[in-house]
Amino acid sequence: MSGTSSSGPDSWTDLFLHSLGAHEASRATSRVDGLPSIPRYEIRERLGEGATAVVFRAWDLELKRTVALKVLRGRAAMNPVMRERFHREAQATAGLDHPNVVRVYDAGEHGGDLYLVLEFVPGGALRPPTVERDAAALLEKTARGVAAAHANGIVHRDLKPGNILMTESGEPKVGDFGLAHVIDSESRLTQTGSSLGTPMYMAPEQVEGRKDDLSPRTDVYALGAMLYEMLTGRPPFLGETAAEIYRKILQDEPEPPRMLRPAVSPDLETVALKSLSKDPGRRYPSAAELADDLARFLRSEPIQGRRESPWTRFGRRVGRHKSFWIPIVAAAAIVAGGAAMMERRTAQSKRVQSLLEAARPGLDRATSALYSPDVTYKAMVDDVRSTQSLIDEAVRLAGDHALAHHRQGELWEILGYYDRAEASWRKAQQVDGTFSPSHFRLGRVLVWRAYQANLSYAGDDIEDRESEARRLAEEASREIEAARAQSSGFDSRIQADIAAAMNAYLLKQNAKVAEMCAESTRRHAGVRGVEEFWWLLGLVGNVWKERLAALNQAIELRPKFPLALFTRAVLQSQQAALREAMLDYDRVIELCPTFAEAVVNRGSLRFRVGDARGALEDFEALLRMGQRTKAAYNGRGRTKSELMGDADGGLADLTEAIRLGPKYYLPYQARAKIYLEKGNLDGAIADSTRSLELQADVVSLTTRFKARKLKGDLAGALEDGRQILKTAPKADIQRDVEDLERRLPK
Amino acid sequence: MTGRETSLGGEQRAFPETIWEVVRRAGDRSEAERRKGLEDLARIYWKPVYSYFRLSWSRSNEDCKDLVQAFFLRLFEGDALVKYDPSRGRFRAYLKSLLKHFVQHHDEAMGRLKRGGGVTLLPIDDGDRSLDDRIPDPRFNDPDAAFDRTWRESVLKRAFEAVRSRLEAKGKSVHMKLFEEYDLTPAAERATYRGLAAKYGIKETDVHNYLDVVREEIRRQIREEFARSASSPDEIDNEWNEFLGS
Repeated sequence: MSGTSSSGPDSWTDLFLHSLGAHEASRATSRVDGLPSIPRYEIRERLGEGATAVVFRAWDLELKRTVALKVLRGRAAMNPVMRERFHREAQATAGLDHPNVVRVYDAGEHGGDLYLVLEFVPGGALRPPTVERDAAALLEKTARGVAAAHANGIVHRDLKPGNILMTESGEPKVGDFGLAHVIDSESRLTQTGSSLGTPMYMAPEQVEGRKDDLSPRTDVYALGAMLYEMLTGRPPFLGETAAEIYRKILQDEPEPPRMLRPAVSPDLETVALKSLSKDPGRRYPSAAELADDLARFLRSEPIQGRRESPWTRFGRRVGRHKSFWIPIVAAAAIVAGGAAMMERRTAQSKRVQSLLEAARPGLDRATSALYSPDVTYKAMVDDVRSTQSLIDEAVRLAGDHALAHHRQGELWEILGYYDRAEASWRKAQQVDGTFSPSHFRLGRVLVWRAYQANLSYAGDDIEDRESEARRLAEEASREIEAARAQSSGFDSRIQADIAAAMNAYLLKQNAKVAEMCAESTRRHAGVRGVEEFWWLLGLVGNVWKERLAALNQAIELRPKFPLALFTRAVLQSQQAALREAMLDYDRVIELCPTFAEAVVNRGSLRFRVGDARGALEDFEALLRMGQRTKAAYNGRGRTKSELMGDADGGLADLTEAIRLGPKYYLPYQARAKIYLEKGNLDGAIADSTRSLELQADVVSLTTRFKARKLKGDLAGALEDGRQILKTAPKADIQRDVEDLERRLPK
Repeated sequence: MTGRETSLGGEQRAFPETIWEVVRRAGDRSEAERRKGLEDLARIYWKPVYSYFRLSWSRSNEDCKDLVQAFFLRLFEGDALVKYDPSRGRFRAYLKSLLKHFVQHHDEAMGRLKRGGGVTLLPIDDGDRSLDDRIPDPRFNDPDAAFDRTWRESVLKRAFEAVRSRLEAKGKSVHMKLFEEYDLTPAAERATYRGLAAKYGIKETDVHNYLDVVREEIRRQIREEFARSASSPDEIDNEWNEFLGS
C-alpha cells in the first residue's frame, strides 16, 4: 500500500473511491443489457468510466459520425447535485466553438439517464512532449482553448492533463467542463466549490475555498502548473499527503524550473512562475495573455513577463538568425575538441544534476531544523554533513554550474557562514547572471552582512563601517530588485517585505521600519520568515521591554536565528542581565562560528565578569580565525595585563591593537595603566592623553592624574583631579586634590 | 436497488452477528468474546474518532490519543452501547452524537482522563504518522467531515488488506498489482492496459477481467463489513451508497 495518503482527489483514498464508484456505475450500466440505449446513437465501445459517468464511443445514426457519449447513470443520475453539474457542463460548453475545445453536440435525457453528446477525440489524454518548444506550443494551444472559455465568461476550474484530450494529429482539446463555473451567475453549486478540483493543479484561492476569488486567473494557475510539469517532469509541489501539498500550495514558492533542470529556458521559467504566483493579481489576467507570451517565446520575441538584460536580448537575436549562429557554435565545438567533449559534458551534467537532486532532502531537513527547538545544532550539522559532500562534489565536477554554487550557498547559510554563502552566490551569478534565485539569496545575505558590518566598536572607524554597511545594503537592494525583475524564484510578498524593511532599517528610517514590521507580522503570521520582522522590531524599538518581547517572539519562531540571538544578547548586556546575555552569545557562536562581533562581545563580557580563561579563549579564537583586528588584540592584551598579571604580554598586544586602529581609545587607556605601573610616566601621560582625545572617560583621566602627580606636574594633576570629581566623587582623589590645592599657589 | 443483491444471503451467513450484538449481549457471553467485540469496534473507529478530536480541540497528537483512549473507556464501561437502538439510526451517527457530547463536556472528560489515564486497552499504532498528516487539510474544516473521511479511508484499507491476503493465498497476486498500478494510480501516471498486459505477460482483455475481479471482491468485502453493523439489507445499500458518495 505504498503512497498511501489521506485526502485529495488524486490520493489513494480518492482513487480507491473513484474506482469503486466507477465499478458500481459499470455494474449498473451492464445490468440491463450491457449498454444503455439512447435513440439516434448506436453505442460501440466503453471508453472510460468516471465516478459518476460512463463515456462511450458511439455512432450518430443521423449525421453518420463517431461521437463520444457521456452518460450519467445509476446513483449519480438520481443525485440532484450531480444532475445539475451535468447540465452545467452542457450549458457551459455548448456555446464554445474553438478548435482547442471539445465540442458539445447535443444533450438530453432518456429513461432516467442524462447524456451529453461530445466530439470524439481519439488520441487520449495529454502526454507531455519531451522537447521544450513542443511543450510551449502544446500549452499555447491549450491556453487558447481555455481563453475561448474565458472570453465566454466561463472558468474551467479543473484543468489537468487528464482533461486535455489529444487528437490523432496531436492537437490538444480542452474537455470535461463538469466543474466549470459561469462567472457572475448565482449558483447553489458553487457553495460546494471549495472541495472541487485536483490538488496538483489547484490554485491557492481554490485550496482555501475562496469561491469569490475564482477567476480566469485560477485557470491560468493550472495551466502554469502543467507547463511547470512539462518543463521539469514533476508538478510544482510534491508531498506525501494531499495535506502537505495543500500547505505547500499556500505557503511555499515553487522551485524555479531551472533549479531542477538547468537547461530550461529562462523565459519559459518566467512564464511558468508568473502563472503560479500565489497572488492572482500577479498572474496573467486570463489564458489569452498566457498564450500570447508563449507565442512570443515561440517566435523568439521578448516575452512580457520580464524585463531583461541586453545580454539576454543579444542571445535571443543571435538565436533568431540561425545561419549566423550555427557556424559559430560548430566552430567552437571543433576548436574545443568536438563531439566527444560535448558528450562528456552531457554525462557530467547529468551526474551533477543527480548529485544536486540527492542533496535536496538534506537541505530541506536542515532548513526545518533551523525552526525546530528540538533539533540541536550539532545534530543538524551531523545530518547535513553528507549533503555537504554531495554538493561539494557537484561544485568540484562543474565549476560553471550555477545551481551547484547556489546550493552550496544555501548550505553555508544554514551553517551560519554568511561570508561563504555570499561568495557562493556571487559565483552562481558569475556563471549565470539570469539565475534569479541566487540574486535573491545573495541580496538577503547581503542585508545580514550589512547589519553585521554596521556593528561598530567605540571610536575609530564608525564612518568606514557605516559606509561599508550602506554599500552592502545598496547592493542587497539591487540584487533583490534583479530577482524581482526576473520575477522568478522571488514571488512571495513576504520576501519582498523583508527586503524592504531591512533596507529601511539600514537607512535608519526606524519609525518606518516599525510600521512596516508591525503590518508584516500580521500579514504573514504563521509563515516561515515572519520572524525576521520580529527581529527588526527588536532592533528599532524605543522601549527595551518591547524590544525584548519582539526578540523573544523571533527566537521562539526560529530557535536557530543567530542575528536575533545576537541582538537580544546585546540588549540583555545593556540591561546588565549578564547571565542571559552570555547564554545568548554562546548560542550565536554555536550557530554562526565566524560571527566575529559575537565572539568579541562574549570575550568582552567574560572579561567584564573576570573570566580570564574564557576571555582569552575567545580573543585567541578570533586571531586563529584570521580576525587579526584591533578588537581582538585589545581584548587579549587587557585580559593578559589586567586579569592575568602579564604586563609585558599585554603591552605587546595593546601596541599591536593601536597600530591596527590608531583611533580606538581602549588600548591607549589600557597601555597607559601598564606604563604607569612600570614607572614610564611619559608613556602613561601620552597614552592617556591620546585616549582622552578620542573618548572622555574617568579611567584615563585617573591614570593621567596619577602620572602627572608622580611626575611633579601638579597643575596638570589638579586639573585632572577636579575633572574626575565632577563625574565620580572618589574619596582618595578628593584628599589628593585638597592636598594639591594647598601645595599650589593660588 | 436491493433486487439485484443476490449475494446478500451469503454475506449474512458469513457474518451472523453484528458487532454490537456481541458487545451488548455481554451477559450471555464470555468476557473474552465481549472484549473481542469491543476491540473490533475500537479498531474500526479509532482513527475516525481521533480525527474528530483533533479538529474539535486543537490539541497535540499525544493529547488527542489520550482523549481517544478516554472516550473508548467511557464507551465500553458506560451504558452507551447498551442504549443504542439500531432501528433508530445508523451506529456511526449515534457514535458521532456521543462524540459531540463528549467534546461539549470535555473539561469533565479531561478530569476523567486524569483519573483513568494510563489504561491501555486499545491497539494504538504509535508509529502511525498519518495521524498528523490529515489535519491541516482545508477540507476537514469540520470534525464530522473529518470523521467520515477517516472512516472511509480505514474501511478501504481494511478491505484492501483483506482482499489482498485472500487473493494472494489463491496465487492471484498479479490481480492486486494490477489494481494498485491501474485503479490506485493517478490517471496521468498510470500505464495503459496494453502496457500492463505486456508487463505481466497476460492478455489485454485479462487486465480488464482481473481488475473487475478485484473491484468486485473489494465491493463484497466492504459490504460484508457493513452487513455486520446493518439492521436490514436495505441499510447495507444505504450505507454503501453513502460510502461511495462524496
